[in-house]
Amino acid sequence: MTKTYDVIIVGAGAGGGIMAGVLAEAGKHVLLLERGPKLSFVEMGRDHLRNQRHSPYGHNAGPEENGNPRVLVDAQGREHLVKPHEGGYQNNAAMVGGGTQVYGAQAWRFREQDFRMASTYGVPEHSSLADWPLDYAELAPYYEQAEWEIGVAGDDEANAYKSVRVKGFPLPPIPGNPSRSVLQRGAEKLGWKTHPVPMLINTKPYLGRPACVQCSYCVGFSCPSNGKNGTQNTLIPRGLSTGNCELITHAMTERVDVDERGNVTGVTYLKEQEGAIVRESARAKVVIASSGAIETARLLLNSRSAMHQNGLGNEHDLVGRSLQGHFYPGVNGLFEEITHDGLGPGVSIATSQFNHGNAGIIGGGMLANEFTKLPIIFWRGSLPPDVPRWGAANKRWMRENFGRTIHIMGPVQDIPNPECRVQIALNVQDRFGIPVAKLSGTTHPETVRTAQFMYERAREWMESSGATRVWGGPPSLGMSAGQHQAGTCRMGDDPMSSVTDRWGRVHAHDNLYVADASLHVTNGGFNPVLTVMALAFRSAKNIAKQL
Amino acid sequence: MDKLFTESQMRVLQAALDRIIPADDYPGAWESGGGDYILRQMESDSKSLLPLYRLGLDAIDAEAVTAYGQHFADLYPARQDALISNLERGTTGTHWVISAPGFINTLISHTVEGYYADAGQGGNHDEKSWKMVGFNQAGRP
Ligand SMILES: Cc1cc2nc3c(=O)[nH]c(=O)nc-3n(C[C@H](O)[C@H](O)[C@H](O)COP(=O)(O)OP(=O)(O)OC[C@H]3O[C@@H](n4cnc5c(N)ncnc54)[C@H](O)[C@@H]3O)c2cc1C
Repeated sequence: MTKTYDVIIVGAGAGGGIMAGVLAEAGKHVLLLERGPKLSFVEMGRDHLRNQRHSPYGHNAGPEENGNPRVLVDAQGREHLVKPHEGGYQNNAAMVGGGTQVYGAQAWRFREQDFRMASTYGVPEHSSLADWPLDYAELAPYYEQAEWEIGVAGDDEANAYKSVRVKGFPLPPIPGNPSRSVLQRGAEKLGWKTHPVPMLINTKPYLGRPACVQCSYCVGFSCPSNGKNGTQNTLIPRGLSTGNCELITHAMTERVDVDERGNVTGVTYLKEQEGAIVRESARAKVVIASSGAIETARLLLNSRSAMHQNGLGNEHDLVGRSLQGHFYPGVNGLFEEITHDGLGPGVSIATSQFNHGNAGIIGGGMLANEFTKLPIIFWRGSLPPDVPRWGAANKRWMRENFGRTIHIMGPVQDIPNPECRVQIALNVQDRFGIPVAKLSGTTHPETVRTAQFMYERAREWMESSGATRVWGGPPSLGMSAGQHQAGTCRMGDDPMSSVTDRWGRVHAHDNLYVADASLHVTNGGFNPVLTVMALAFRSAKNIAKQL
Repeated sequence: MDKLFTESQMRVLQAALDRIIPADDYPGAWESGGGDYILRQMESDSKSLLPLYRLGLDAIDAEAVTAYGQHFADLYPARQDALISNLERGTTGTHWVISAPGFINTLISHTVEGYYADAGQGGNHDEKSWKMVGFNQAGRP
């Protein structure tokens, strides 16, 4: 029997989780479909070789290794089948909470100029750089709502480059560590302003959950104290507790359904029951796609019908284009003093000085010291090139210097390329028989120029802080989607150049919405999740009013 | 355990692991469980590499016998090190049917994984490597 709801939400991640919570609390009858499972800290474990941060052999937050491939098209046009844990897949996570149970939890607001990239810098040739249809002031109240209802620790006073904000943070900033004082010293010498990194982490008990225990397993793992805040422990349980929201896990949504006139009526999803695949349909007044930037594009493109032969919202061949993420230029430095006290999260000092206003450069980025590293990640990525990879010398180096290095890096504003895109691989299907996502293209070369500029700033900061050695290579052209994937269903006022309107409503449909990072017209020079959350709060309020 | 490797292959494996991460006041790779880690890998994620390992371990021994007239495990540590360095550079005295640098890099990578990853994988007994480098133990549940 087909059930009917007010709203069906496809994907219980950052955007979808917030939609579910707000709409259920507004009294709407919500179906929340999630392809992955609900996982606890214990189930996700602490496998150093199979997690969302380091995955030579697998993941801890999905999707499952087998039966969920993607196709990656390389620079020569050759197609490769990739598994979720392999780099080219551009994975985020597939579970209740989406990326938010395993993320590092940096909680940045974009700045005013981040919403007006085209008018601030002009549009480089072959780029799809554009302004957002809304400005920072319009999103600011919802940033605040995300900070207070999900929980962000930060220091409002310290950031000289902050955007205008009405209220401070609900939680005091994460404690500093030796890296903070070392890098502060270096920044002061250069005349740079620094500040603590805002984090979706409870520095003291908040909203009924305990404080962080500083275990240093933030990125890529679940939190043992439940003091790291995502949608899985805030808005989703809030929604479920109203009794208005039904969550179905392991529900792979195949398509958004339309009637014979092309109007959206609901979705069809697939579940595995006792080894057999069962196809179910549900109906709703409103459907919200919040499957993450790659999978939302896939879902819309796979929702072909007589009226929508190229997929939903794709009349102008825009769905899936301008796939973007962040380049992460950075350097490592070695110090005579101890730079780690062994406590997490580790990331503790940032500068937002170079996000904009860099002569001859489009945009810029934020720089911060990196999270505490797993020793195996340190060995793989943080050794100077001339240190042997094995033997007594390697062991000695690991022993003496694990606690004496700093890694500075940060996300760079991506200059979008419309040819970097998600398409459907009609010849390759997942375990449910659904055509998979095909990824191709690279970022725009201007991104590399900005990344090179930020790489040089990282080096400058490291040297000024007294590093005895600095190493790490410059950035080069590639695809940047990954965990910060965004931009595939951009918002805008003009249906000729955008997929949704300023509320995330797909143009030419009155009841189909997108609510995830796909909406980002540009992705800021900051980690994206707080913006995904703010947009979802804003749009949820609007949908609740209209339903 | 099922015989994945012959006795002589196991001797090469042990000796090589103890040069890749030698013992000092912290354990070497073998004592720390590196062998168990690799045997587990050979039965799980790295199953497809078992033929490579068998060929590689035999080839290392053949290198030692050809160069020094002794099995790899019986060589002085300095000679073992020199031999591994040669393989890394692709310098071999015998005919290899697989890539010598390819194999030695795989072996190094697995050894290091066993040593520094979580003890649940068979290596890193008592998390000694974490104590050695100072990886955080605070706040663990
Ligand atoms: C290890 C890691 C560290 C990170 N650190 C940070 C950080 O410090 N700061 C920051 O800002 N961001 C960080 N991120 C990124 C952040 O998690 C993402 O930006 C954010 O989760 C994106 O939200 P979303 O709503 O677009 O998609 P997601 O959160 O990815 O949610 C999409 C959900 O939809 C589900 N889904 C997909 N397809 C279907 C389908 N067909 N049917 C049903 N369900 C479906 C997926 O399983 C998933 O749960 C990190 C991510 C990772 C993995």
